[in-house]
Amino acid sequence: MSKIENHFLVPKHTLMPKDEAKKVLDQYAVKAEDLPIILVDDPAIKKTRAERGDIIKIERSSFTIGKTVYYRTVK
Amino acid sequence: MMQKKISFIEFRVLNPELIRKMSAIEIKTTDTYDKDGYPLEEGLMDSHLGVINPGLRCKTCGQTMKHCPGHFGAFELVRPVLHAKYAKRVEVILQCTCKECGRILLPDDKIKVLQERRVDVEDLTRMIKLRTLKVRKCPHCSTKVGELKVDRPTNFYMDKERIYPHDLRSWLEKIPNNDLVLFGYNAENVRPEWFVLTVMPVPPITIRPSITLESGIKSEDDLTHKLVDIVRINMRLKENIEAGAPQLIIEDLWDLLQYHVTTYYDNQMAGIPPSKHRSGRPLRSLVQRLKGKKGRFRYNLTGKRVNFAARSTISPDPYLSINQVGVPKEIADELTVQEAVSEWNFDRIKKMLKDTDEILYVIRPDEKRKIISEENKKEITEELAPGYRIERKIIDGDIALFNRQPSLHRASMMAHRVKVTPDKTLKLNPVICKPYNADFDGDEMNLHIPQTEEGKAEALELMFAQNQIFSPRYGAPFIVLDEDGVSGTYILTLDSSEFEKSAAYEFFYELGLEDIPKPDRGNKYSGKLIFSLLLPKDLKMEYKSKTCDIFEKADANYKCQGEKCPYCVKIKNGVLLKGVIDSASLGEGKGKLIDTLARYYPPEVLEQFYYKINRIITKVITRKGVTACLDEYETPEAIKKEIEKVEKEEIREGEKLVEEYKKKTLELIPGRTRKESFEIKMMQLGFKVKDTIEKHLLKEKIKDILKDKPEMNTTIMIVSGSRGSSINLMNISGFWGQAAVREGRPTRGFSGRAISLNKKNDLGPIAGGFIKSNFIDGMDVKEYFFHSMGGRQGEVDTGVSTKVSGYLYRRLANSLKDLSVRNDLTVRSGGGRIIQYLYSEDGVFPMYSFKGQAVDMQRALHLIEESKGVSKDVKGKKK
Ligand SMILES: [Mg+2]
Ligand SMILES: [Zn+2]
Ligand SMILES: [Zn+2]
Ligand SMILES: [Zn+2]
Repeated sequence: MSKIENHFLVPKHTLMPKDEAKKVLDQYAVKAEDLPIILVDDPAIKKTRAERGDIIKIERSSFTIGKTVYYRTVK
Repeated sequence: MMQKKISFIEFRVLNPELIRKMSAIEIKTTDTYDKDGYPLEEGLMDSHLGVINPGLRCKTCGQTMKHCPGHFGAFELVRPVLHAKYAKRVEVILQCTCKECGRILLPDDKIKVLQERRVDVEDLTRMIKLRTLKVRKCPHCSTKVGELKVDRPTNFYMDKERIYPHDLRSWLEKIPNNDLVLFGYNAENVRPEWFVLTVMPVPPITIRPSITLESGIKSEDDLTHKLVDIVRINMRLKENIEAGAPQLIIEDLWDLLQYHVTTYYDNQMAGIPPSKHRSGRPLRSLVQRLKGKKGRFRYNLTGKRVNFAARSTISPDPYLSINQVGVPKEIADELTVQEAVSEWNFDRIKKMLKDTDEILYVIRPDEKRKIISEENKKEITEELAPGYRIERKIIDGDIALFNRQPSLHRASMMAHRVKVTPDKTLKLNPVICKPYNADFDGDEMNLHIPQTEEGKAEALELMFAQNQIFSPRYGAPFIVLDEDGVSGTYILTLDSSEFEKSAAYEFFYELGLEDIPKPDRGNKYSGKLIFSLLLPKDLKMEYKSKTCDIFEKADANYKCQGEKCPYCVKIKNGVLLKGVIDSASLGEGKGKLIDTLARYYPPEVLEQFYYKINRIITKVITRKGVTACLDEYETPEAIKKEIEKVEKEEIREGEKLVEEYKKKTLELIPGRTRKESFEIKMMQLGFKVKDTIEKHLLKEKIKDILKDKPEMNTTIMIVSGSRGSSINLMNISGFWGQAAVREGRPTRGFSGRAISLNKKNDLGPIAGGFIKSNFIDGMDVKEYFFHSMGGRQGEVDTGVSTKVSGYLYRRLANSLKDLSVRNDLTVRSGGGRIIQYLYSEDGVFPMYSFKGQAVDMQRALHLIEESKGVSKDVKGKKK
């Protein structure tokens, strides 16, 4: 089986360190549960060993502005 | 503001205890009012249930009609009755439980396994039903399981013996709470025996008021009628039981009671004859009050009606601005707005009050309203001072929201300024038909008058028509001239168009021009000069016109001469130096002139452009008369011959293909069967021959434009891109070609042939729907039928696709309606949850974009080059 995180359609998923995650939450003035979610068993974050409550940073390429960032809480 | 969050909503079933507890009075008699019309004690209209007479006070809460919310009553049923709306649930429970011990008909360990399954209730119930189906003996008390029969909705039989509601109730009572969980009931909220009614709640009279007719006769609500029936039968049953009447009579009355209770809740149940009035009208039961299009939800809650609104047929008026809406005097007199009196408008309002009857009310600072009449007019005029408010009829310049359904995008409802007209319809400039998707074949539109200053400001800022010129979908103008608008401008700007002084002065008058320009063609004015009057003085543009494009496409020998091309546009210092203004300048999405005017100038510039050009075009086009004559569609001799030749070729080639197909020598298309390959090749053949003729026809017709005075209006429409294309010309003057149903030749019909005029198994081009005729000559019978097959498909497709896409759109809109872009450019749900961290993930709002691009790169680079030293004020709409 090929590694799905290497597929060109799967954007880069990284586990955010606690302090950085807090910065993001502060920036948007939200609680972790107000972010969009990603399931713990999502294949794209298997490698990051993320646990429930962690925040995943997703970097996607954008047609219009090159790169966009997205955050999801692990559920 | 205090914020509260609803964490959950729970539905329960009313239990008898609760019904008794919440009851204000027990109902004991069917009588409603006494001789004097006062509500009777313990009757169905008892004053404990609330008040509907303005004078009376409620006996429960002591308040008057305005403040008393109404109170429930109750009455005891002598014999229990099943609530028919729960009959399905009862049926399921009876199927799966033991009548002796009330346990689920499965051994404990199996129940436990099921309990631990994490599936939803419906699936769980289905599983229990499946597993208990074959159980013949109760695993808990070894009682034999009987055969359950249901006479829907309310009669149950076990081994052919009737289970009466009280037996039903005691069976349901036996079921332990733990087993109930498997059916999805939390015993605290729902016990199944509550499905069998022993006491009935009587709704407050506020929801079933009696109406006093003009004749003085009181008429009761349908619900009251039904309740009277129930109470009456209940009393009869009681008397009979007490008198020791035979069992048969008691059972009949009991069934009657069941019938009345069932139809009180729902009068449209399958298997139950609907209960009717004496007049034969079916009664409106509780369920009917809520359900369906005319029910409480869709009719009264989702479909609220508003004041300050009008609706009427629409008609066009090119003399209005796109920012205006023509409102009939009759409507304007009916609609009102409030206006605050201030130092600045004091004189105006005072004059209005004195001289006209536009003002209906004066509202003092203490909110006291004074109606204006002839008698007090003078006095109030004296009293009027800043701080007062007036309520007046709407007048020219007031703000109105104008809307046409279906409201599919933001431009379906735009703000306009009112223009009161003496006509009978709402009027709009034809230029704004496109965003509303309106035409004038009987379309109606709605008008709303915002009442508050905030409302008006919001309408003007966010919804004003001139601010909606850019499409929120692709970021290019979509409020554009079309059809006659483009044709007219085209005719105006043709080289050959010239105007005598008298005609030109009419235009100058329409434009409100004070400095009359000098004639540029001897004694005459050219159309280009007149058009140039509409352009901003600093406009500089150069681009290829649609006309030139079409010429090149139609004639391989025609080449655009660039600088010298008489059709391509060149504008300098706001003067149209050469070229014609067609859809390449004005059209939706691709109109370069309109795009520039809208993007780099204030919105008023384009608004004024439309306002003026409409006035000129209306005159131009009326004078010329853009209409078609049969001569325009006459097929030139040369082409007639060519068509004949081509048709012969089509038939010859077609026959050849048929032969090859039958001999199995046909060359196959990869991935297709022999039959499919044959059909595809037949279709291609039809298109191939059509294409060549179409080009020739257009080339022939274009010669007309090249003449000094073009007479053919159809050609003008095609070349300017205002309406129609060479395909339409081809269908009228050339031939139709292959009829198609679902991208293939028509096949369905009879066995071996599509229509009965064909020989069986004829695969040739004519039998397959090739149409040699055109619309001018008319088709023969066969062709007519084949043509209709294609026509029918088109009709069905439009019908189906509007329906499907409409529903798709509704679902999308409903799910997205609470999302909003916040100040930090995040998109959040109504509850504040984040959906996107940056609007559309790139922060580009298509409406303010350059045709979907964040920046118009070409122009930006151009400006940088140009502005090396020179700084120029550019009104950019880009983000
Ligand atoms: Mg219509
Ligand atoms: Zn009350
Ligand atoms: Zn049992
Ligand atoms: Zn050209």
